[in-house]
Amino acid sequence: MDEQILENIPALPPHQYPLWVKLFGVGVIIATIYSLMLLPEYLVAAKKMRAAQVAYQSGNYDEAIQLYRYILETIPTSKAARIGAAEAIFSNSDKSDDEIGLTLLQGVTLDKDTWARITRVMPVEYQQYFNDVKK
Amino acid sequence: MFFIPGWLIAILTFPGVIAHEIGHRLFADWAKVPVYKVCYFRVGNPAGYVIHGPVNSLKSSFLISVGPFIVNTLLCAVITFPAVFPLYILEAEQYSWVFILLIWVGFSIGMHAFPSNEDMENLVNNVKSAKQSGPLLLAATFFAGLFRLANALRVIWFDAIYAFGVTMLLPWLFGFF
Repeated sequence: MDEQILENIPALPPHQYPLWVKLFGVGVIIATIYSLMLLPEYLVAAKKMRAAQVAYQSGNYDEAIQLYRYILETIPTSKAARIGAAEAIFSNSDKSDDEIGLTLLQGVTLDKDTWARITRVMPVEYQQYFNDVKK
Repeated sequence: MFFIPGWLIAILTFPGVIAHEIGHRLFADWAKVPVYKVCYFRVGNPAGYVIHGPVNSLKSSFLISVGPFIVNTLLCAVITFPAVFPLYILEAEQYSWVFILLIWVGFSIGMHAFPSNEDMENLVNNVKSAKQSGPLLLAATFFAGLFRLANALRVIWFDAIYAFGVTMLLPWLFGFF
């Protein structure tokens, strides 16, 4: 804008903002603080997820199960943790806990690749409990 | 590629517009530059603006022009950070409304990070009028060109692509992608 025109307009008082702008700013600050408060829980869960995947791939199934259990205690709706835990439970030498693995997969929709991965370790008699989902 | 009018995007991502203009206003106040008019949000083009007086130093000019870009980018990265984990890594089957809210606010702020072409033009003019040449003018001109390009690419959703990139930045730095 032309400087001459600007000279005729009074400048706004500095650091004085409308109430709604202040409230908006407070909202953004609260969102930022709340994000930072949520962060440790989810960051630790995500790190444990990575560690569980590594443990599973290294054949440390019991360690993987422990890690997945921790994640599910924190985020019970984690589909990746439920699938990973079931996979580890089916893979370990203790066959008495296989039913827990089956329970973990209850109500979970598995894509083709995950289903192929799971069926490699899942007892054959359990596979009858799963149905094809038409998309 | 589908086209959505700019005013509709501005309405859907209004927290970003307001945060951007608050950034301009705050930096202008801190730099003791008189502000004559502020529109934090409106349905129109531009969706928000700050009219301020002449800038007295290059540092102030940089802060007023580029400050909101830095602040919006940082806010986007931090606000969306925890919400990325249940979505992409933990694959939570129920995505809490709190995370939806954080993603929306953070993503909107990220989408409105780019300085406008006018902001960058002001910066280049201030560098020129300060009789600065060489690396400073070159850097200002280069970044002005870069942001002009980014603004032009908004038609292909570059602002959303940028916000998505910023959202993924911290998880990536923490080794998750």
